[in-house]
Amino acid sequence: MKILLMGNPNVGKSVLFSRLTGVRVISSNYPGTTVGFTRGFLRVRGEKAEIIDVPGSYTLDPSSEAERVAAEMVNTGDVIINVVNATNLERNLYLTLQLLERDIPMVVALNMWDDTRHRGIDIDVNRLEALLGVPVVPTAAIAGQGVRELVDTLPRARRVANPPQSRDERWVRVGQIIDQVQQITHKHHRWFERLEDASVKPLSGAFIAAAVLSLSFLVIRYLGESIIGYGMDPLFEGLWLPVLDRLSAFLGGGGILHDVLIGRKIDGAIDFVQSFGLLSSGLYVPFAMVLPYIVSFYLVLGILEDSGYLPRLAVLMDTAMHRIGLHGFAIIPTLLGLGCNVPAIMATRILESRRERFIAATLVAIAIPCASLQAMIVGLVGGKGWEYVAVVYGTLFLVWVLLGAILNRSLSGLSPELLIEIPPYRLPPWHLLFQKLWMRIWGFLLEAVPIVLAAVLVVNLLYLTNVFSLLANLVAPVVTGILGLPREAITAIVVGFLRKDVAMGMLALLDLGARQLVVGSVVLAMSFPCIATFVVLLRELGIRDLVKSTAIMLFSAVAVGGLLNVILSQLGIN
Amino acid sequence: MTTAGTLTSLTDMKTDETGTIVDILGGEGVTKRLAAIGVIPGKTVKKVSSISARGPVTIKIDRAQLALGYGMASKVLVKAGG
Repeated sequence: MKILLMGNPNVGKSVLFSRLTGVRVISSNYPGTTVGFTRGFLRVRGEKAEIIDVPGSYTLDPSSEAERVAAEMVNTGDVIINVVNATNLERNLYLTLQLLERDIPMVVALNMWDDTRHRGIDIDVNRLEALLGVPVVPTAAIAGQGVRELVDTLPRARRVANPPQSRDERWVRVGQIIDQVQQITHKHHRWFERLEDASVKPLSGAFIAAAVLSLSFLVIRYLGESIIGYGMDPLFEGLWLPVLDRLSAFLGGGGILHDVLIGRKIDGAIDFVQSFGLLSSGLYVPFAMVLPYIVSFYLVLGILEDSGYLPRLAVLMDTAMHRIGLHGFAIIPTLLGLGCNVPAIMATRILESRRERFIAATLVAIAIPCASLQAMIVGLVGGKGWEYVAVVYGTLFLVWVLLGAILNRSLSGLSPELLIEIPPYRLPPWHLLFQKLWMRIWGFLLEAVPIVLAAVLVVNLLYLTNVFSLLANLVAPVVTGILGLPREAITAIVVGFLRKDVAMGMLALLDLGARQLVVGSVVLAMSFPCIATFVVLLRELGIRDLVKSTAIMLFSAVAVGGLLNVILSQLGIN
Repeated sequence: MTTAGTLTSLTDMKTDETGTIVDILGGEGVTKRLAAIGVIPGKTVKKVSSISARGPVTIKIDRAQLALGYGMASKVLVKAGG
C-alpha cells in the first residue's frame, strides 16, 4: 500500500510525516520547505505501508517544479491523506475538492487543530465529514495529537470520485461547505499579529529586517567564536596535541608515514592548520574550525525558518531582487547557500521559471560561500586583519549583484512575480528546532569529515608524486600572471573541487600576503564549486545549463580575481 | 480614503483599507495562479502594506496573509469599502 501525504504548502505535512514514520525530516515555517519527496514506512493494522511526503501544492494544475512533482505523484497513490490547515479551512478545501475528483481513497487530517480554539474558530467535524464524504480526523502534528487516530482511520479511507468541476464551481462549493461547518466567534488583535503587520510595512519592516539580520550575524559570529575559543581549541591543544607529540616521537619525527599522519612540523612543532597531516589538520579543520560555525549558523537559520520571518524578508527584498532577475522568494535559497550550496540549489525548485532557477542556482554556486569556506576565510584571512575579510565579503556581494544584473539583461524572458502566502509568526517548536539542527550537524559530520580526510590524504600523495608541480607549470600564466598568486596556489583550487575548507587550509601553507590571501579566497569561492554542488547542479539544471553555468563561473572567477589583484596592488597592499 | 463603491486596484487601494474583489484583469495564467492561492472575485480583502513605488503588495484574505508582485496586484480589481 502506498499512502500520499498531500496538502497546501506549510500546513505541517512534514511534521506529520515525521510523527507517522519516525523518520526525521527538515520542516520550517515557510511554504516550500519540502521540494523533493521523502518516503518512509508505517504499519497499518500490522501491514507495512509506504508513505510519501509530497511537496505542498495549492492545486493540481502546477505552476512550479514543486507543484509539478505533487501533480505527477497523485495518481501513483493507493490512499491519500489530505492534510489541511484547520485555522484556514476555506483556503485549503479547494485542493481537497480537486483530490476528491480522483478515483483514490482519501482521509482528511484537520491539522493545527490545537490552534483553532484561541483563534476563535469552531469547526463541526462531523458535518464536514458528511459533506466531504470521507473521514476527517483532527490532528496537532507538532504536539503529536491525533496521529494514532489518523492511522486507525486509514482502513476506512473512502473513494469518492466526484465528477470533475470547473474552478469557479469548486470555489462556490468551498463557500457552501464553510458556511455549514465553520463559525468564527471572535477575533482579537494579538501582539504577534501587530508584529506581523509591522514586518511587511516599508519603514518598520526595514527597521525590523536590519535588526534581525544584524542580530543573526552577531549571534552566529560570537557563538562560533566561543565554541572555538572555549571548547575546541582547549580540547585540541590540551588533549590531542600531547597525543600527537607522542605519536610523532614514536614515528621518529619524520618520514612518509609521519608526514601523512601528522604532517610536516612548522618551526619544530605540530601546527594544526599548517602541518597538514590526517590526524592534525585533517581533524582540526572540520571539527575545530568549521563545525563551530556550522552549529551557530544552523541554529540561527533554524530560528529564522521556524519563526516565519523569512517570507517577510522575501517581501521586503522583492523590488531589489527583481534587478537581478529573481523575485523576493529567491532570498531563501540564497540564505540556505550560506550554510551549504547543495540544499540551496535544490531549494531553487520553489522558483517558477527555468530562467529564474538558472540565475538563482548560478549565483549561489558562484557568489555564495558555504559555511565551511566562510569559517576558514574568517579564521585565516581574519588573521591578517578584519578589513580583509570585509574585502572578501564585499567583493562576493558585488559579484552577486552585478552578475545577477548581467544575467537578467542577457537571458531572454522575464522573471515571474512574487506570489506567496505569508505564514503567521510562531514561537519555534524547540524539539523540532533542535532535531533539525542535529540533522544538519550530523549531515555535515557524515559527509564532510570523510571527504576532508580523503582530501588531505590526496594532497599528501600528490605532493609525494609531483603531479602538482606538473599542473602548476601548466596553469602558471593564469595563476601568477593574472591573479598574482604563487603557482602552487593551483593545488588549492584543484583541491577546492573536493572541499573548500581544505583548499583554504592549503592556501595557508603558501605563506601568502594579505592581497594574495584575499584574491585566493575570492577565486576559491567563485571558481569550481565543490563536487557535491556540481552533482546537484547537474541534476537540477541539466548538462547544457551546467556547462553554461561553469563557463560563467570560470570566466568571472578569473576576471574578478585579476581585477582585485590589480586594485589591491595599486593600493599598495601585498 | 477611497469612496465606498469606487472601483480600484490592489495597488491603488490605500493601506489598511478593505474591499471586495470584483474581477481579475489579465489572462488565464494570472487568473489561475491567483485563484489557486485564494484570490478570486467575491472575496473580501484588506490591504496591509505596499513596499516602495513598484514593489509587492501584502493583503489579508480569509485570515491568511498573501504577498503579490506589483504587476499581479495591479490586475486585481477591487470595490472599495466592501
